[in-house]
Order: sequence, then structure tokens, then C-alpha cells
Amino acid sequence: MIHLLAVLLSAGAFTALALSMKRHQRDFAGRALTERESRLARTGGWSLVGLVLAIDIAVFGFGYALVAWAGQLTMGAWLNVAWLCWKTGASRKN
Amino acid sequence: MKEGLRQSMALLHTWTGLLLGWLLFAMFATGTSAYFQDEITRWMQPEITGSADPVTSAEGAVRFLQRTAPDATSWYISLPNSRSATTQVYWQAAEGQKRGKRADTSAVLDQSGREVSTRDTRGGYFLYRFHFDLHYIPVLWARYLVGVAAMFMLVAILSGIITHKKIFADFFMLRFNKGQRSWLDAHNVTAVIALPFHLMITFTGLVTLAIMYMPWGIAANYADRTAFQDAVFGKSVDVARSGNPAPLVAVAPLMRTASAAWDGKRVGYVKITNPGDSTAMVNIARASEGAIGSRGEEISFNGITGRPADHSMAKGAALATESVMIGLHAGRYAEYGLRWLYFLSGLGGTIMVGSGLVLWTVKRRTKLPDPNHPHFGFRLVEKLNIATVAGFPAGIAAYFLANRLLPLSMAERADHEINSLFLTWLAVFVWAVVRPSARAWPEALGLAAALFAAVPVVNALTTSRGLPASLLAGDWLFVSFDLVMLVLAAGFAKGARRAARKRAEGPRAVRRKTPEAMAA
Repeated sequence: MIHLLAVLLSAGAFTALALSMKRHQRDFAGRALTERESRLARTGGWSLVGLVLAIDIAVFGFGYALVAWAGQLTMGAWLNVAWLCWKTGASRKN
Repeated sequence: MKEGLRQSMALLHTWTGLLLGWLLFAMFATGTSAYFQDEITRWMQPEITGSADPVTSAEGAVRFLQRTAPDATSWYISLPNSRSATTQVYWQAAEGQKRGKRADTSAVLDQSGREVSTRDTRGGYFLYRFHFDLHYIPVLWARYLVGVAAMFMLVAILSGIITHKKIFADFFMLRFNKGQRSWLDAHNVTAVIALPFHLMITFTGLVTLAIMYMPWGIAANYADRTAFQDAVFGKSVDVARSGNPAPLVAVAPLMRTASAAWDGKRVGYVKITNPGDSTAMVNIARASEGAIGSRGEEISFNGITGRPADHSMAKGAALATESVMIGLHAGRYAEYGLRWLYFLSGLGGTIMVGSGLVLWTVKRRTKLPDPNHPHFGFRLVEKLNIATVAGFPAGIAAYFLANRLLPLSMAERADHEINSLFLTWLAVFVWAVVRPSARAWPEALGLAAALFAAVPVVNALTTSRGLPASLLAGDWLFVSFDLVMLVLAAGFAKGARRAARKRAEGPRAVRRKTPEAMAA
């Protein structure tokens, strides 16, 4: 269960980091974000990455947490790719 | 200059990736399956149900060994972990006795110490061993070959990073379905997203056999291998039997003492030397699932009095590092959540190697002077790709099917299960050679899909533990196994459909190109 939560948080982290980059804002948000919003997304994204690690350390202890963290970030990134694929696939059909 | 470096790295990436890529694919596929080797074994031994307690199992094993091999030099008891239900025992025949076949000095027991009556199979353990020992060839050669392949892999990963370092900046550009580039996308996405895993697994894989690949450090500092072993792991004390019989101490209390010394972690392994003699020793080792490091703690006890007799040495920093690296590779410590993350990353790695192999032909096809009649090297790569990327997984499905379909009383049954894997692989290779590649691709991928889809069906028909029954019984191991087979079947079916569609588009594209090629 904790892995599921961590994977979802990681996915959110990657989405936020993508949002903080100018050229991806249209893909993810549908519009260009303001400077302030981009900065917020960047801080938020990195904070989530840190939060996932913190949760892992609290639950599993340091060594195990590092491995779990790497795996969860990987799956979080996968979710973003899957979502983007689904979205581009859907928009192509329209 | 910079462009020169990138170009030479791209060249290195292409060729180190290709040369042993087929072997790497098979290693990655079976290595990935090894994260669930206990579960695969349980699926392949459907007669065995329930779980086993290590202490009860150890007592049962000792009873069995006292009956079967009372005067052995030593007994080795590999206890069930939290994912398995059987105990493996091995014994070393007494001095002067002929060393028999492995089957004569080993047994698989249930927790009460009775030999289990199950079909003859090597289960998930075979797939695990194959990923570094291969099959049909001497183990030593296999391990050198595997080592070279792993070193190539490491070079391919590092040169890939240098060549395509743009990929990190373009991280969020990664996606599938961008038309012609779908193989490139599959390669990029699977490579980049699980890059920490790929680097870790390749490097630590080499570390598992590092002493074999780099023997010179030891050769320069120690008289021989035994001197090294003694210096690092403590001198092995081989005490001869005194000839005075003495009853063996009860193992259960010793296991509890050891477990308590390790914060309640399970015991994984019990070794008893000179059983039944006054010189008996009991050596207890921590289960590998207890911590990341693969070399666990050990405690030795006097086999008569049960008093601790500790000879084991504290681990140095180098040994501890090696232990953690090997542990990280094998993932025996991982509970189910992390185990699935390992498995999925491994699956990604397998797709990375497979798509990289296919990419080699995709990139070259358009540059061929006559795409309808490629030269020999190109055809060879293409055929080997079909045989491996589609044929090897088909072979694994055949291995599972053979487990259910071969007659239970068949002689050498376990060997025939293994042969069916390689026969299927060979059959797909032959098929790929005789058929035009454009047709062989969808056919071979379709075969793999059909075989994987057949596994749950045949399981339901031949055992009482089919998908509906195990769903009702809440038998999640069997449910997950069958579901993974169906997901793999769906994946291969999708691949087959895509390859078939490509074929429908392919010839036209080629025909359009040919006049230009001829004009040029």
C-alpha cells in the first residue's frame, strides 16, 4: 500500500516538474503558465520527490528506502509516459 | 571534437549492444523471472499448498536426515522462506563412500520432514540458474560468456548515455506512438525511465562473479584460493569424526537463540557437521530475506552442548560492500511491493534490449541498396531477432506448458521440461529462417502470444487450481501467475498485430523506394 501511495506521489512529482518547463506546459496544463506558477510547480515537484524519500525512510529505514525510492520514481515516471501516450492517442482521434 | 566523441560512442553503442544482444535478452528475461523464482516453483509444483514454519521444518529435516544419512560428513538444510513451503536438504557422503549423483544425496521435504511427492521439475530455479549458467554448455564457459555479455551491456549503457544525453533534457518528450519511430520510442522510454535499475543490475551482476573475472588481485596477494578464503571468511575448521557417538542437540532452541540475536530475523540455513558424533557442530545462517546484504550473519554452536562456538569473523568494508551489491542484484530481501518494482524494471530492461536489437535492422533497412534482398549480415541479424525476441519468450511459455502437459511418470521429466523451452526456441529460429522476415515477425509473435494465453487455460484444465478456482480460494500467487501470463499474451498479441500492419504497409513503401535506389 505504501508503495502505491509513493508511486502516485512520484507521478505527481514528475507532472509538476514537467509543468515547470515552458515547452511542456501546453501538453500538461493546456496553456502557458506564469513565471510564478512555473516556479511553484518546480518547488512543488522537487518537494514531492523529497517527500517520497522521507516517507520511505520513515517506513523502511535508510538502505531499503533508497532502493524503494528509485523503484517508485521509475514507476511514477512510467505513469506520466502512459498518461501522455493516452492523451496524444485520444487527441489524434479527435 | 565533441561531435567525434558522440559519433564514436554511437558506434560503440550500436555494436556492443548488438554483438551479444541475443544472449543479453535471454539473460534479462530469465533474470527478471528469477525475482519470482519461488512463486514460479510453487506454480510448477501445484501439489504443494500452504506455508511452512522454519523451526518445525528444521526439526523435520533433521529427523529425515537421521534416518537417511546418519553417518554423513555434513548435512545442509535450506529452510523455506516466507514465500516457499519446502525444505531442501543435501548431504555430503561419509569419507570413503562413493559420491553418488545429486539426486542420491538431496531431497525436497515438507515441514514434517517427509519427502514431498510432486511432479519432477526444476521450477523457477532453472530460469534463475540459466541467467548466469546457461544450459547444455559447461558452467565455466557459460559464466565467462555471460560476463563478457554483461561488460558489453555496461559499455552499451554508458555509451548510450553519452550519445543520447539530450534524452535527459527531453525527458518529458518520451512517449510512444510517434508513428515510424515506435521501436526507437520503446527503446528510449524503457532505457531512460529505469536507467538507475539498468546501471545497478548490470554492474552488480558483474560483481557477483567479480573474483572469477578479475582473479589477479587475489593471485598477487595470496598463495592460493584457500588461503584467500581463510583470510577473508575465517579458517574453515574441518574436524574429523572422533568415532564416539553422541546425540545431536535439539536444533529448535539454537534457531531461536540465533533469531533473537538478529532482531527476530528468520533463519535461512542450517549446516550440521559430523552429525551423531561427539565432534558435531551446528552452523546457523540468517535468511537472505532478512537484510539487503547477501552474506548474512552466522552463528556456530557446539552440536552436543548447544553452546555458541563462534569462529565467524567480522566482515571488512570490502566484503560488506560486495555483500550489499550482490544483495541489491538478487533482491532476496525485497518484500512483495518492492519485488514487483524489481520485476517491472526488469521487464522494462528486457524490452530495452529487445527493442534495441530490432532498432539495428529498422535503422539500416532504408539505407540498404536493395531492401527486398538484404545482404547476409542483415538477414542473419533479422532472423536472430525474430528467433530471440519472439522465440525465447515463446520457449518460456512452452516450459510452463510442458510442466502441466508432460506425463507425471515420465523418466527425466524435469529435463524434458527444459528441453521443450529450447526446442521451441529452435523451432522459431528455423521458422524465421525459412519464412520471409516480414511474415515471420507477426507469426512468431503470434505464437508467443498463443502459448502464453494457453498457460492459464491448460493450468485450469489439468489442475484444480485454475484461475476461477484460485480467485474463489483467494490464492493470490496462482491468480497473479495466470494474470501475468495473460498480460504477456496481450503484449505479444499487440506486437503481432503491429508487425502484421507494418507488413501490409511495408511492401508498398519499399516498391516506391526501389526506382529511386535504382536511379541512384
